[in-house]
Amino acid sequence: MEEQLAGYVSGLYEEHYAGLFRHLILSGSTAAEADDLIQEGFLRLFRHLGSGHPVDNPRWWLVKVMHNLRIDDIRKRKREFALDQPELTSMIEQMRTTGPDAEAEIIAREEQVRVQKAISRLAPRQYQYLLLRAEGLKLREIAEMFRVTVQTVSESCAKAMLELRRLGDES
Amino acid sequence: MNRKEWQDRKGHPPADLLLLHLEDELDGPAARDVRAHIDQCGTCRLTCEELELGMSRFVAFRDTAVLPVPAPRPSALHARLIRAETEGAPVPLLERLRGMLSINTPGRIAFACSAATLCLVIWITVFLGAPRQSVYASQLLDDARIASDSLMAHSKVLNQKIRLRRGNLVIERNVHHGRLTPMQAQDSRIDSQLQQELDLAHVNLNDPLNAGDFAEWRSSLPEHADSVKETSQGFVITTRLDGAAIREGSIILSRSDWRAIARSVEVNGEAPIEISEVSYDLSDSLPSKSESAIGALVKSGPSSVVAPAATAEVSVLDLETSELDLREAFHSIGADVSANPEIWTADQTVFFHTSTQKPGETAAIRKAASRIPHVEEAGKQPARLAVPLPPFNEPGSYATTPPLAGELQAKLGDAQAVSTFLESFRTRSSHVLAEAAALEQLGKRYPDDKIKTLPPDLRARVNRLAASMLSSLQHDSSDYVKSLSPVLDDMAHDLNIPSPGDNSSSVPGCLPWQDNATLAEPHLRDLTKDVSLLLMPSQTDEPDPLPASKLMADSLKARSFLEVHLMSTCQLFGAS
Repeated sequence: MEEQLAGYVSGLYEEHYAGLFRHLILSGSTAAEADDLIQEGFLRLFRHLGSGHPVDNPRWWLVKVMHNLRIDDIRKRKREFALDQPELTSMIEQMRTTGPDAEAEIIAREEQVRVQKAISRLAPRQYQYLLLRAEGLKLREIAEMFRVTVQTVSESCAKAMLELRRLGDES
Repeated sequence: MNRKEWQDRKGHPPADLLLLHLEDELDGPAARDVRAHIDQCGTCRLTCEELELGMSRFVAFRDTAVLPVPAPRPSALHARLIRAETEGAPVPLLERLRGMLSINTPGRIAFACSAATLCLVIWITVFLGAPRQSVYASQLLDDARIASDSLMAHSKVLNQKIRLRRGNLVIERNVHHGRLTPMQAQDSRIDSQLQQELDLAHVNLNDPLNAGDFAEWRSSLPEHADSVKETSQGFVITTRLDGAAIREGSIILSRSDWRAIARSVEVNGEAPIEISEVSYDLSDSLPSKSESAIGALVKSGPSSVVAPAATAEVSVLDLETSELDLREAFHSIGADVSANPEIWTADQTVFFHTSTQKPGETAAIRKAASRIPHVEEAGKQPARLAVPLPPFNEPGSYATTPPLAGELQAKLGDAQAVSTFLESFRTRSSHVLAEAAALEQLGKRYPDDKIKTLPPDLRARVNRLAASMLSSLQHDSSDYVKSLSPVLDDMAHDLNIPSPGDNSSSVPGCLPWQDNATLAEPHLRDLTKDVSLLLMPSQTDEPDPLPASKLMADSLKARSFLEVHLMSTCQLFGAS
């Protein structure tokens, strides 16, 4: 039974590894931290499932657990401000982007550069909220994770989305 | 659109309420009011659309962000899960036991219950725990094998100094895991009985801490019991077989990298054989000749990579993988730049040819290539496939007098300083040009269309290789330009030639790495050629050399382009 569960969780791990790794790197983790967090997240998922608790959406569950693990880690290392001050700009600069195919390629690349610039102007919290929202988490869930009100998250996200819409066109 | 105005029904709902509405997170009267307003308000419908567009822009950007994602390690996770299972299983049981003992029952009943539970625990540990330990042991050995394969895939050799001890006999020797190893001389202190016991336990004295050999010995046993113990150093796997000549064997795998650090063999009626690691290091290089290398080359262990038989059918994917292995191997030893390798595929084989004349480099190249299947060294690439590199500073018919040679000497002080500067210029320029040419060749071999046809793991590896080459080029080009800049800036000032200014608007933002490679090479070439004509006697095809001011202006332009374009802008990597 446990073997079966271990096999199931290992399968989920293979399926979601790249997406979760990307999410963690974009959240400001180093590659080594991301790898550790993913392993720990899946270990917790294994224990959670093994103790008979169902999980509706493993990806969301993992994102939330890894976010909490990351905050714990940051607190443990006394990097209290790391979450609010990720080196967003340098991270965005290092980010590699790729465009779709064929004739729309040039336009798509211009769009990427515009959006890239617009993202680099977001406040770190706005960026973190959007990143979690892009993973499919509800505003309410994001608020719980950051221990703020839904209104705070909603205001922040709405402002960021409108800025992205506007700056993405003008910059 | 603020909350107060909305609450007073004097304006539009604020954007955050619209977002909550879109996310279906409003309920009750608030949801009803916002929905009713939006139904009648074009402005708010537009705001809703803008919110959705802003989010979709972010998602699209996130989805196109290509970061070098390492390969997941499901076997490592699986091992961890099994470990968690074996560690975690007793806990609820113990808790239950504790619960039973805490019940306020008469002493005898409590004692009977606890004794019965203890028996149950022992029964579970003995009869159910054993298979789990066995699975766990297999998993750990599998991880060690994967780690060993990975070492070889990265052309690394694990050099260990080991000590073998049995009773008073102590033997120390250097062994190498992960490559074809010179067979070591038979130690005269090892008698035939000891040798026989070592053979029985699958201990190869040329690589006695090979986890693969231990796994092989363990698999060969018809029935055995395994146990796994964790220590601060690593995992101790012990395998027992009652009644056999070798009654027990154990191996310790390091926690940090899964390498085997100790092994022991228990022989019936004899003192145990203990083998332990004294020291270790990782290297790419061949062992020194001082080591006892005698006899023919033999495989160091069961997991060494061996080229398949020539008659076997080789798939296109195998060839792609081998070619990429070869390119990565050349890059790791710097031969992709220094040896100008040509690589091509024909007749189910990946051929390579290099121009290096250095014996050490030739040996390193051959050694790297020897580990990769389907790869052969060829005398020369067939002409129809050859992609010649453009020659640098091809000598022309007319000798030029460097117009700024005198200024250079005046600026640097003496002929010795000039000679040092020009030597550094020649070395750096040749190196960055070779780097740019290597990257350009890689770009031609793997254009975007080609990369898209590769499986994801190869695609990621091509991107990683390109990123690494590009990073070296950026770093070295930056150093090269910086070394020239003080001289160029001073001379430009003397010649009253203005700086070309910020030309960032004239270069595209992000380009695919292949395009950047193509663009970098001619600009580096132009800069080098112009500076050479300014400062060094050269040969050109032009009867009338360009004036110094023109050469200087062109140099500054090429430098500016390189600074802005090659070193500062983002690079696009192929779809992965």
